[in-house]
Amino acid sequence: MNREPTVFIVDDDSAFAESMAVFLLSIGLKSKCFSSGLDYLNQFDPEAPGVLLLDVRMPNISGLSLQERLAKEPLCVPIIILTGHADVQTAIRAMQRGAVGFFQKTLGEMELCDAIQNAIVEDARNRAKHAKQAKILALLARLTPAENQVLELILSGRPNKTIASKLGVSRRAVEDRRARIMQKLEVESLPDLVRLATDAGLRPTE
Amino acid sequence: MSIREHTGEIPFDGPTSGDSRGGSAAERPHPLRSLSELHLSADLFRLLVECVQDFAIFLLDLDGHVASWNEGARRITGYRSDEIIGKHFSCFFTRDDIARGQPEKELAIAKAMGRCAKEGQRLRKDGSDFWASVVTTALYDDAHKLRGFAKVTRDITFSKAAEEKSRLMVSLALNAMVLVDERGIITLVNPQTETLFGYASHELIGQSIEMLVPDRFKADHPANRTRYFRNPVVRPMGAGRDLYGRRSDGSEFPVEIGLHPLDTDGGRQVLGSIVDITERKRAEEQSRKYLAELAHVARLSTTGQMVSELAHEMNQPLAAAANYARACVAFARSGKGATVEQLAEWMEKTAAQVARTLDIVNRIAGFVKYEPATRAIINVNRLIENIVSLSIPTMLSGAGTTVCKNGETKDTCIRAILALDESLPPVKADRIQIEQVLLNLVRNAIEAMQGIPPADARLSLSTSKVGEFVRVDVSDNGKGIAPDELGRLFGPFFTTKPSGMGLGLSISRSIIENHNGAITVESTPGRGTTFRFSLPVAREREES
Repeated sequence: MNREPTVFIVDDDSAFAESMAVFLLSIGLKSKCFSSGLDYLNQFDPEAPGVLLLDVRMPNISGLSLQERLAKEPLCVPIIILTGHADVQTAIRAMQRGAVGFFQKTLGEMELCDAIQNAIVEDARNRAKHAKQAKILALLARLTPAENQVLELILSGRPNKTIASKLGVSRRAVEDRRARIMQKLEVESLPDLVRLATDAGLRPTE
Repeated sequence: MSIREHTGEIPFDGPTSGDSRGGSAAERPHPLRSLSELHLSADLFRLLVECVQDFAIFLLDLDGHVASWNEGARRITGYRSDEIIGKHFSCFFTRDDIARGQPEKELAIAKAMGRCAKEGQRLRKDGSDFWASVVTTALYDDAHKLRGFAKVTRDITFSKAAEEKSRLMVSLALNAMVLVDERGIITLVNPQTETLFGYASHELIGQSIEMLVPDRFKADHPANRTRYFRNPVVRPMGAGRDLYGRRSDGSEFPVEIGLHPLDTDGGRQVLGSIVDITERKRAEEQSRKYLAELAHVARLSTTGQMVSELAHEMNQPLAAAANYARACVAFARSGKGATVEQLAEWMEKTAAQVARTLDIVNRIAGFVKYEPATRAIINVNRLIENIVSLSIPTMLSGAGTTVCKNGETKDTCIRAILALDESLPPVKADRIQIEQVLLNLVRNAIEAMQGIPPADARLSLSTSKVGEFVRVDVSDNGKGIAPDELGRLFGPFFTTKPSGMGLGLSISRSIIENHNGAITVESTPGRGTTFRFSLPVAREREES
C-alpha cells in the first residue's frame, strides 16, 4: 500500500506533457504521461496514489468528460485542470465536478507546485481514510442483526434500561450484546465506539 | 479626259485622271486630230460630251472665251449655252481671284505644262459659289499650234464640305488624333494632340510616331506597328496592356489608344485616337486602395474571431518551453538529479518550443499585416495550402470541430480534401486579398457543416485551369443555401449567422471582380454548396 505518489499527465500535446514531466522531475516528483483520456482510462489503477493533471481540450474524450467518468470510481486521485485556454465556464464546471485546482498553462508555477503537493497530501489522507473505512466496514460486517439493533440505539444515546424496554429483552441481555459489540469492533470505550461509527459514516437513526 | 488612239474606241477616263496628259503634246498624238480622222466617231464623241451631266466639259479659245458647252456645264453653272458661248471664262471666278489674275494663270500653266489642275471657289450664273475641281488642258492642232483649251469642271462642294466636316470633327474631338503612315511618320495631328503631348503640330508632322512613345517601349513599337499594318482592323491598341504616352518634357502618362486604318491619297494610314486616362487610373487606384483597406478590416475582424483559438495554440508551446526552462534552472541550482546531456537536451527542446511559438506569431503577423494593394505573380495552390495550414485546426475547433488535412483521421475531424492542379499557371493578383476570399469561403463551408457529424463532413478545395482562367472550387456537403437566398448572397449585409456582419461574400466578390475574375455559387439544400471563383491567368509578359 505504501506506493510512491505519481503525477499523471493527460495531454494530447506530447511536447507539453513531456516538458511537464521534466519540470516535475526537477522538483522531485515522479510522473507519467498519457496522450489521451482513453489512454489513461485503459491503464487506470485505482490503487495508484498521486494527482491527475488534466488538459481540457483534447480529441475523443475531453478533459471534462474524463473527469465525469472518473467521478464514478470509488477511489481516484484528485484532479487538477491544466488548460491552455482558461474560460470561466469551463473552470466552474470543472470545480463543480470536484477538481481541486484549475490552472492556465504557463501561469503560476509556484501555485501549481503547491496545488500538486497539496493534492498529493490530500490524496494520501483520502486513501488513509478510505482504507480505515474499509476496515471498519469489515468489522461491522461481523455483527449479528440483533447486535446491529443495539448498536444503533447506543449511538442514538439511549441508556441500557431504555434499550432493554424498547427491544423487550432483559437489561442483562443488552449488556451482553454491548460487550460483544465492543469486542467485535475492537474498541475499549463508548467514546471510541462513537468515533469509529462516525468514521464509518454511520449516523444515529433518531 | 483623253481618248486613246490605239484602242480605236472612246474610253472615258474621267477628268481627274491627269496621267494621260503628263507628257508634252509633241510626244502624244493629239486627241482632236484623231477625232478629225474619224468623223463618225467625232459625232459620237460630241454627243457623248454633250450628254455628260456630272461634269462641265467645254472648250475655250486662245483668249479664254467659251467656245462649246455641255449639259453638265449648264447644270453646274446655271448658264445655257446661248448665254455663255463667246463670254470670257473669268465670269466663273470670284472678284478676288480675278484681281489676283487667277484665270490667266490657269491658262498660262496649261499652256506651259499642257495641263493645269486646280481646286477652288467658282461662281454660278446666279452669283452663288461652289467648290470646283477644274482641269484645263491645252489643245494643239496637227501643226502643234495651240488652238485653245479644254476644261473639265466638277462640283465638289459636297465632298469638300464632308472633308471640312471630318477635319472639323478631328480638330474638335476631345481625343488626340494622330494620322500615321506605313513608315510610322506622323502625317496629321489635331490640336488636342498638341495639348496632350506638349508639341506644336509642325514639330510632330513628318516625325516618327515613336517620339510619342516612352523610351522603354520604343524598341518594340516599330515591330508592333508593322504587324498592325499587315492586318489593319479597327481595334484598341495593346489590348490588356498598360499603354503610356511620352510628353515633350519626357514625362509619361497612361493612355488608351484606338486604331483605325484609313486608305488615303498617301497610301494606307492609321488614325490613332488617344485618350489620357490619368484620371481614370487614379480613380481605379483609389478604389483598389479602398478595397484593400476593406479587405484588411475584414481580415482583422476574422482574426479577431480566431484570436482566442490562436492564443490557445500559442499557449501550448510557451508553457512547454517554460516548463523545460524551469526544470533546467532547478536542476542547475541543486547541482544534482540530471546530467549535463539531459540539461542540454531540455534546453534544446525549450528552444524548439519557442521557435514553434514564433512561427505561429509570424504567421498571424503576416496574416493581419496591412499591405497596400500590390499585384504579384502568385500560385493559387500555395495560397490554398497557406490558408489550410493557418486556419486549420485553429479555425473552428472551439465549436468542437477540428479540420484535418488529407490522411489524418481523428474522429472529431472534418476532412479537408485538396485537389490541386500542380500544372496550374500563375495569376497576377493581390495575395492578401485572394487569401481573404479563400478564408471567407473556407469558414463559410465549415460553418455550413456544423450540423453534420464531423466524420461525414467533407471540405473540398480544388484548382484547375479553364480556358484562360484559373478556377478554384470550395465545396462543402453541409446544409446548403435556400434558392431564395442565393440571389442575395453576395449583397452587402446579407447574413444567416447570428454574429455575422454579412460582408464576407460581398467583399470577396469585390475582390474577385477587381481582379477581372468572377465568383459564383451553386447549392442544393441539404446536399451542400460549391463556391467557385476564377482569376485570369497571368500573361507571359507579366511573369518576368
